Amino acid sequence: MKNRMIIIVFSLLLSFSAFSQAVQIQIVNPLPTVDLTQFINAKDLCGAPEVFLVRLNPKGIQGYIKAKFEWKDIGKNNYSEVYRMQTNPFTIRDFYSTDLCNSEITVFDETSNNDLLQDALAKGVTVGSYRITVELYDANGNFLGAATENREFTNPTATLAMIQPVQLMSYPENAVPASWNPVIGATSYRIKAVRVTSIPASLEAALENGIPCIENVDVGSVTQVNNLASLQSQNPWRPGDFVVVRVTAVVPGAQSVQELNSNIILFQIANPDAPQSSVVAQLITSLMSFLPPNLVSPEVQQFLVQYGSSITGYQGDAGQSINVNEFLNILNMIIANPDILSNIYIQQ
Amino acid sequence: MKKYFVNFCILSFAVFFLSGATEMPPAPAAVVTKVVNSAQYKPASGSWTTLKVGQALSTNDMVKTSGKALIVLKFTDNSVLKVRENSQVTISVTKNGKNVSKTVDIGKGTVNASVTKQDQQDFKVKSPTLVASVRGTEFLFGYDNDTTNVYLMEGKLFCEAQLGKKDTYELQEGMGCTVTSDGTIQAGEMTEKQKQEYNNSTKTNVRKVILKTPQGDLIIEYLTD
Repeated sequence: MKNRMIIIVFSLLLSFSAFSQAVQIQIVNPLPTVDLTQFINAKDLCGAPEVFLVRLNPKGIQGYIKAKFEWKDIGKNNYSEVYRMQTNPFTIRDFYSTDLCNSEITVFDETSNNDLLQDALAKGVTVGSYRITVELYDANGNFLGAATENREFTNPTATLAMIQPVQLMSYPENAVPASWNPVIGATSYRIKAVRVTSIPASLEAALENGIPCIENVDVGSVTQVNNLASLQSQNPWRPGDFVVVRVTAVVPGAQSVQELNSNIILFQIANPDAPQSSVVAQLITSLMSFLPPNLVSPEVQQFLVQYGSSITGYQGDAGQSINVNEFLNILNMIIANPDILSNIYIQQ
Repeated sequence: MKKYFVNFCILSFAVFFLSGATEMPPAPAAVVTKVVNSAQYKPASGSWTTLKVGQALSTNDMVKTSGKALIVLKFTDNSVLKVRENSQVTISVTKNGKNVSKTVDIGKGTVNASVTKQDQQDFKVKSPTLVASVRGTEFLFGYDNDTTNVYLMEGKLFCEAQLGKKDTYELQEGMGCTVTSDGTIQAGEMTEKQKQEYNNSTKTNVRKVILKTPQGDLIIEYLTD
């Protein structure tokens, strides 16, 4: 009797283990690099990014899956169903989410929550918690197993980027163009700019803590401004200054207004009275402030003052020529993370 | 009798000096595989000299870095220590039968450690306020102003405060802790800034961009992974 009990308990454990292994969901793209709204917006999941891999067992027999995607807003207790689908029968195998559109695994039936989708479309990216559930059935409708995967998605992918001014470029004092990509659902954009006299260690801190020259000016729904100088009200920039600027999209949602910040751009106001201080030379001079005193050579500073305007080219690691934008990109990377700067010296 | 005594003294002196002359130098515990900018080395009994790649380090040897300098050390068990700028570190190794104990003593500054799984070995990183026992893990350990900061990227780390309350704490992956001179350990999830600090501390490859002028080249060097 005791042995029979052990066998029964053992069998139950085995069957439970088999069921728990029948379906496994693996998120294949690191979140939050994946914009899940793209996924829930996609009809038949065509055009959706590759978000997850489903491992199914037993393989090779006929079966089908039911899947649902749920979303929970930040601070809420309950999930809302965003999308539910069932496939036609197929030979059970592992598949990626993209296979649901592009393979023999076809969608038999699907429903979606239109209100939520519209809200997501309007906001661009919906933050919160996402839950993916996949259930596996054999051809006769017998339940074989299920799995659920949860992901918090609280950090929306930046979908607003400034196109102009160009990072680290120099502009005349009264001709600083600005433009950015449109954000779906945005009703207006706000611009904030702060002037600084040298390259700041943190662009974000400079923007947050500095005295603004453009103080969150609402420019309406346009995506370009011909001259940022015209938006200045106080503390205006002067030739030779560096300026940090950011645009913010205002996106009204069903329940709240969402604000989406762009990347922060650092540019310079040209100084016509100091031709020797080309932008590059000034940038490098500013970079030197991140070096310890023992590595700061007066010769380098002198060199930049004397020859900064006679630059003939730029080279990369292996001596290959690079253009000014590539060079500025590297400087930009170092400025954003000055800890990685190792040394600056002259080789004659 | 007197003659025997004199002979015994001569023999004793000879043995004493001879044993000193043939004494084997301590086995190296680590070797320097990279030096960026200015770094120095001090043997257990000696003075500070310029540190060069290939220098073997034995027990009680010290190395130190100045601003923007970096040293990469490789231990005999393949553990790697990246001594960051403005740091001073003493290496010590003790053997007890098959057990080998390695201790990295941080006098000041920061080290990034990638420690291989220890088999019958003991690897400790310590500062005046903290001793961390390591069993195969990757972390950043910094000591400055009587405060030790540890950011653990992989594995587990058993931390024992050395002063005051002598708190203990087992740090889990993705956590950081601050240990002050009163012996308290404050632990928590690593912030984005701390993760960035950790990531920067792993960078040891020097790359450069060159600005060309007719009067010469200006070289800017920076660290990458």
